[in-house]
Amino acid sequence: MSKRIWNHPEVPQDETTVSWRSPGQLRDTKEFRTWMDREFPQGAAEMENQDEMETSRRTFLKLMGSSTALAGFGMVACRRPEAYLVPYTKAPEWVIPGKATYYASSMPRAGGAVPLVVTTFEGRPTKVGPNRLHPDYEGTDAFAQASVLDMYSTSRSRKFLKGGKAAKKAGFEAALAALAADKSAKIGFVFGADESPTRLRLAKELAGKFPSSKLYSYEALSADDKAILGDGVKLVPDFEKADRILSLDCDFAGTDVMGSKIAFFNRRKPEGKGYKSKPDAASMNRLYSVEAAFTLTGGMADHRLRIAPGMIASVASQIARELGAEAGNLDEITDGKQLKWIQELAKDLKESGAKTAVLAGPRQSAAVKHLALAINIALGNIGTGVQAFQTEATGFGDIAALTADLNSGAVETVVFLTPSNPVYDAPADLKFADALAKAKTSIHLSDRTNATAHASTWHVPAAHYLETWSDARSATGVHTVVQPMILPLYPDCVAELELLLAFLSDDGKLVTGEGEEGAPAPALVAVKGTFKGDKAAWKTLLKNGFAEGTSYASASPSLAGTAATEIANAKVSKASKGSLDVIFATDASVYDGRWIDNGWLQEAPDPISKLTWDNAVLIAPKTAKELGIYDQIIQLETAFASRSPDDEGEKRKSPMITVKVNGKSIDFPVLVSFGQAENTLVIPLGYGQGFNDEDLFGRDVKSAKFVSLVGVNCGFDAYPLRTQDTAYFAAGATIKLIEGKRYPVALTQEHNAMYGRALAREISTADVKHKGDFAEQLAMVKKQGNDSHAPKNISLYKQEDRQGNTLLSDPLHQWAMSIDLSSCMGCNACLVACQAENNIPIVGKTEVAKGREMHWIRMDRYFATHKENKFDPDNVALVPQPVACMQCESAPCETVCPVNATVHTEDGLNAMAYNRCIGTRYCANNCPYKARRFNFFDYNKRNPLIKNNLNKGPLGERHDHEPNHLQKNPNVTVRMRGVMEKCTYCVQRLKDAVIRQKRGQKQEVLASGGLSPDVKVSNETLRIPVDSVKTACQDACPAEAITFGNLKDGNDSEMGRTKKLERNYDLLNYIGTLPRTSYLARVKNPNPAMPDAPFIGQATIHMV
Amino acid sequence: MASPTETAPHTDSGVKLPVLKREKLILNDRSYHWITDRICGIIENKQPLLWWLLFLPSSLIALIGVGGGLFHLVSTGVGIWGNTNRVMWGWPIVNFVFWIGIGHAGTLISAILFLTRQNWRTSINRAAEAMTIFAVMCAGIFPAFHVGRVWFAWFLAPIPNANAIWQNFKSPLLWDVFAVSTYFTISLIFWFLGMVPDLATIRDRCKPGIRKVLYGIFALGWRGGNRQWSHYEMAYLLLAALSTPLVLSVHSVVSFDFATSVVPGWHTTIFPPYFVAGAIFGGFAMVLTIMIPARFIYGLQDLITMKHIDNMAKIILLTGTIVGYAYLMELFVAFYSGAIYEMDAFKFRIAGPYWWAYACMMTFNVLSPQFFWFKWCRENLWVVMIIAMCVNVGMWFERFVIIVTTLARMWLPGDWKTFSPTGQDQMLFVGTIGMFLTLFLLFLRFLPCINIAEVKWAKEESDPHFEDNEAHEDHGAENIAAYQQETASNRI
Repeated sequence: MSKRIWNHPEVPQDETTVSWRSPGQLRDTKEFRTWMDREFPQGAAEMENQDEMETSRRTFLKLMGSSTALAGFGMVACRRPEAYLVPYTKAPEWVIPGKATYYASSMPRAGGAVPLVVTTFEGRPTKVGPNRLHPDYEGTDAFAQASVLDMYSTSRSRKFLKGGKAAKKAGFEAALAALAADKSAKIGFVFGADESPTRLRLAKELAGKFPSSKLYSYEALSADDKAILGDGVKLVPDFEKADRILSLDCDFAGTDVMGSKIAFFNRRKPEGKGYKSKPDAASMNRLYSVEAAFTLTGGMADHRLRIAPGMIASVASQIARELGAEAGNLDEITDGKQLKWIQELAKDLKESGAKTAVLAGPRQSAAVKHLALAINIALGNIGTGVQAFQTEATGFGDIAALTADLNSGAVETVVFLTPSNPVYDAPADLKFADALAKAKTSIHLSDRTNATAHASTWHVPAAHYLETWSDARSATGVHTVVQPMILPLYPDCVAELELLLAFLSDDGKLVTGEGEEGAPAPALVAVKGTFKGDKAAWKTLLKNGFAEGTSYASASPSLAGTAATEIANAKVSKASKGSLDVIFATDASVYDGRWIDNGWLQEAPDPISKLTWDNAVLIAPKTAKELGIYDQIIQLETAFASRSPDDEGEKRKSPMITVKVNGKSIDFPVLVSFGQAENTLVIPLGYGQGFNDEDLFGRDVKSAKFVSLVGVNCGFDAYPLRTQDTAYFAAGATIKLIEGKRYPVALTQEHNAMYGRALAREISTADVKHKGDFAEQLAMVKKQGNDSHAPKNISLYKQEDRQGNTLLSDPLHQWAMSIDLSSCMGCNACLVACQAENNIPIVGKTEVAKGREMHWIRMDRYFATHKENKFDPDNVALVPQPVACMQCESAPCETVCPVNATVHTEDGLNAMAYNRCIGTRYCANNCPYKARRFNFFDYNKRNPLIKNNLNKGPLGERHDHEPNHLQKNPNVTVRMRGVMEKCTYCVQRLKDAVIRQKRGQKQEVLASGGLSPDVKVSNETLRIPVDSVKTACQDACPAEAITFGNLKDGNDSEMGRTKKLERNYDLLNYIGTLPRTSYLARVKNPNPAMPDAPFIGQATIHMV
Repeated sequence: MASPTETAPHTDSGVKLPVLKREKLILNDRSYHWITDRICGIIENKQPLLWWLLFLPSSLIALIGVGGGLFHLVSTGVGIWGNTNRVMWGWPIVNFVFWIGIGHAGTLISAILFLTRQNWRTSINRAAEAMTIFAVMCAGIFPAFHVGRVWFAWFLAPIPNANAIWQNFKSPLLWDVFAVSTYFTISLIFWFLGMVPDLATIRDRCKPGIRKVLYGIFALGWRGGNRQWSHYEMAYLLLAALSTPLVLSVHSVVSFDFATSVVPGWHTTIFPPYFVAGAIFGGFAMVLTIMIPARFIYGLQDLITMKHIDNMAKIILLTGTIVGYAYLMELFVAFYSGAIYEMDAFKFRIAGPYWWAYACMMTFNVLSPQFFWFKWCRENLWVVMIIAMCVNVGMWFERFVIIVTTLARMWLPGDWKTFSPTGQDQMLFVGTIGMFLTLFLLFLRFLPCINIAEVKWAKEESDPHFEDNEAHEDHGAENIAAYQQETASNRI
């Protein structure tokens, strides 16, 4: 953290302060003296005697000739930079141009706010990172990372709308004043599923002021557990304590927010958090997963049971039965293999007793949730493996209640404060749009002018969470602050609390932003009012971002009386070829559809399907074969890896199918998804919100205004298929191939197998035939695949100079990284964090399809299956592998660059000199990891989202003047077209840390009253403290899978310890590139008694 | 210094070998005057209609393809081509290597065949050299403009500057820059120098006027004196000696771009000889492609005889077989290496998504030249022409296979993605073909397409001992091998 020091300390009269410019001057060495005397650096002042000084005719001609030639060459490259430099007339406190200032804040969301530290430059928030002080520290996910872009988004709503048409703020203010004055108004407030203490307080006050008002809570993909756990009760797993975890279709690692899962991931490391102990299988947790669609959680699971969604209740019931819990009278599982699996699982859970956690997917049916609770109670893990909390959010109605109230006239005015978009995403059978039309007035507060905005009487542009005062409760109820970093970018923007305060005030006056002259901002007053602490506590709250010692009260949920009947009534469907199950999945990019206008998320590939910019129906290969569409879509990888039937790259076109379910049918493109349950269709929600006349299928252009250029024509809307009863999955679907109709899809990864190459390595804690026990497998990690017989690499280049000094000669820092595949699940948090930190542009769907995405981290995801897997050969293993620049010590890219644009730094980075790069792309060809990205077009200048815009060159539309350029990190070059770019371990952060280390010492000495010569610098003091700098990806990682640090710190640093582990290996070690980034092999911890145990943890060796 | 020994063996003391009479290189006993008239006539007379029919479309294609293509490229970005973050080098580098390969035959004919005293070169060397120059010009466009920021391409030149920009001499790409530019310079000088006596001939035949002045300037005051001839021949010999290593070096260096990389499928030691053989192979095919029609259009059958075509066909057969051997050896080494990446690289070439390119390459480059084992194939101009065209196409595919299929399937399957060229890719390639034809047609129109001075050496009368041989009973030319001639004449 950098703080501006306003005044230099007064110099006492009797002291002679010596100022110095560099450590060299302080040390006052002989070399430094000569350097000082020289005036010019070496080579520049070599003319020593009179003869040399004299300009001969020959010299004159030489100089003139070369300078003329240079002028000629130089002029060609001359460009007048366009820049406006305006100094501060009144410098704001703490602001040093180019230096970041950090604030603690949080991002509210359903299931608990994400505690954040926000980086700001000159008042602009540019990047979010997790708040590590927070008790609910959970890293960040791609959504949190990308949320900062939303603030600057061109799609952001800036103006009031009345009936979908632009309106003046004054009109709304008048309407609001009228509403606030009428205490008998029948107002319905629709909140999101996040929880804010101040908002709750205001909501209660509102209920007091407007006796006939009602409160609702709605988010499209958040379910209401009132009936199961009790009003406001929630379950949060405590992964620290849970040795055995059973996920009943709960994607807690991915999109189903269940609180912090850091502990879960740290317990995936056999050496424990921080890699401090010896590898010990017993310290690892074990995850069982029962699911249909492949989720990231399923990918992490040690044992995964593939089963259609309609059968999950049956499986849960069988487990409950084995454990002696309430199991309803659902049919028993009869399949011998599955039964054995379940029995062994139950045995394992029983043995671990309280040290377990059974998690039901938040969108699962009530029956499954009841069963999960029954199992948890039977295991006695409530309070240990699973924490139960009583939240304050009670008494809210749901969307069905709201619809009913609107229809009945119990609610006449509706105020939407929810981040969801009910007109678009409410269950189809509610016909919510019709109900809304009956409301007298509707007010919609949102940062997007989506379908609800246009259907409402008034749309109010919302302030972003980085622009508003608020507070929130994190997953376990820690009181967490939401601080504004900046005033709302647009004057019309209104914060949620401000709108509520206006309703509460007598005259209904809307006061936004800084508030009125001389008075503090109203939202700030409200937040302070809720907090109630003294000034010091308030300051601590702002500094730390949370209030120490606060949390929800614990609860002790018991099985509801209706549980048995509800379980008995559970819809159990055995999906078949003619009656498929459909899962309405949460999308990893757009969530419920709210992020559709976020380019970073849209371009981040789906972690499982690797699809960008669209959604598609996912189908298991076997089902595809049975339904006769297999030949139309990608085949299983062949030994020769030919093109798939729907081709590759920009030519890839998915066949279209019609999905018919719940009496409606919609056309979707289809992709094969390995490892998915048979007879199940997975359809991600949230797409297809708006189309313009460029849409391939000519869909309704009236919806074009609901989205911006980012979200337009993206994907297919599955919400119309979804009803209240089938909110998560529906049974009885049929599909039909549409002949001749195809849809282009952009995938970032088209080949799913490792082709016998030991790239992402995996071992098992259990004994494996031919490979031995855990210790033996660990010892063999470095020898997997080609490395088993490849000879040792010998370098012809000496790594030392003639004096024997090592060429990477920085004695202070040698940077390196390691990525633990054991805890990496393959989410995109690092990928998006890198995009935010390093000013990486998005390139649009067509460019991604060609293979020109710019992500510096490529999230490879491999599927592998065991050849001898008798249990379920189609249940493939999923191993993710993030690949960025490896910073090879012997880098193939460096030797081939003809202009020295990529060179090695002395501290071990493979640096890119963008200004020197002419773009031969040779480096990228020679990079075995293909970690380099080329700017084929001026993505930062020309908008890649306008059709054909990039090909227009200088005539293309520019977007570099749009607000999203304000998000750019000023410490990172914004690359122009024609240069190569890649990861450099966030070199800007490293340099900043090194500079701060130097500067800090001087400041310390001076502050303690010493003199400059008292500053003693040495290798020890100039080296930055151990583990004190983090790269953006490492910082963001919610799984603590990335460790980074200084090799010179040795075992003191976490990274240093990882390098010594047996499971540490170099990717493509065979070529001898000596990469600085290494991987730690994934360790699976199967239960040896399980029927599928022999096939677990061997993804590297047995592949498709 | 060793002194000659008394016992040194006499070279003429062996058995005299019977030497077959050489096939005549100029048919119908054409006189010196006829040769001069016929070649200069091409320049002096009106061009046939066919010339115009070829020239206009070619120049238009060149203008649109190269001019327009490069304008769009520089103003917009490399993205208008099909290159991707997987296949960073696509068509442009394929085309570069293709053209630079074609440029090989010229120097081979002019330098190596000159040094080895292959008189049959004289009929074709001028055109082949011109072809070299133009092919290298076409080739140069691609690497120069495929870079992302062509306006900074001068960073490649070692010019001292304030930014301390200095080149990386470890990079094969930089070697390439020097190799190609050296090759181009030497070839141009060589070509021009060889043309000086002929330019003087044309100058002397011109009516006074601008034409005469221009030819006069380029003839450099050539008068045909003994001293001039003496200096000229020495200079020509030296240049030939200088450019001989270049024939081998340029394409070797081009192959280093691939061979020194770590890419499986590129990283092979066989590349330099294989590339050179391939280049000569492709170059001769292009000479045939151009010279067979030109020979008919301008009635040069007496100067470019079936013997010439036969010789070239044999060279194609030889180099084609070398190339075929190299293809197979690559496969064997990949198999023998035991490295999965190496083996897969070749598996994907043969049966991967670009199997058709590999099949084209094999058929056209390895199988099609085998027809030249048969004399009737070498004698039938249609067959020769078809095979030459096949080789041209096959050599393009060879480069496509090497560059594109390799990059589309490298080390990590996670990044595998195929490549598809765009319209602009095709436009520029077709544009360079247009440019090549335009330049060649202009060459035919304005410069002597056959070396007037040298082709006359192939006539028997040019032999200083021609008269002697006629007078002597023992017809030396018939019975004494060429290398024995000197000693034979000493004996007399």
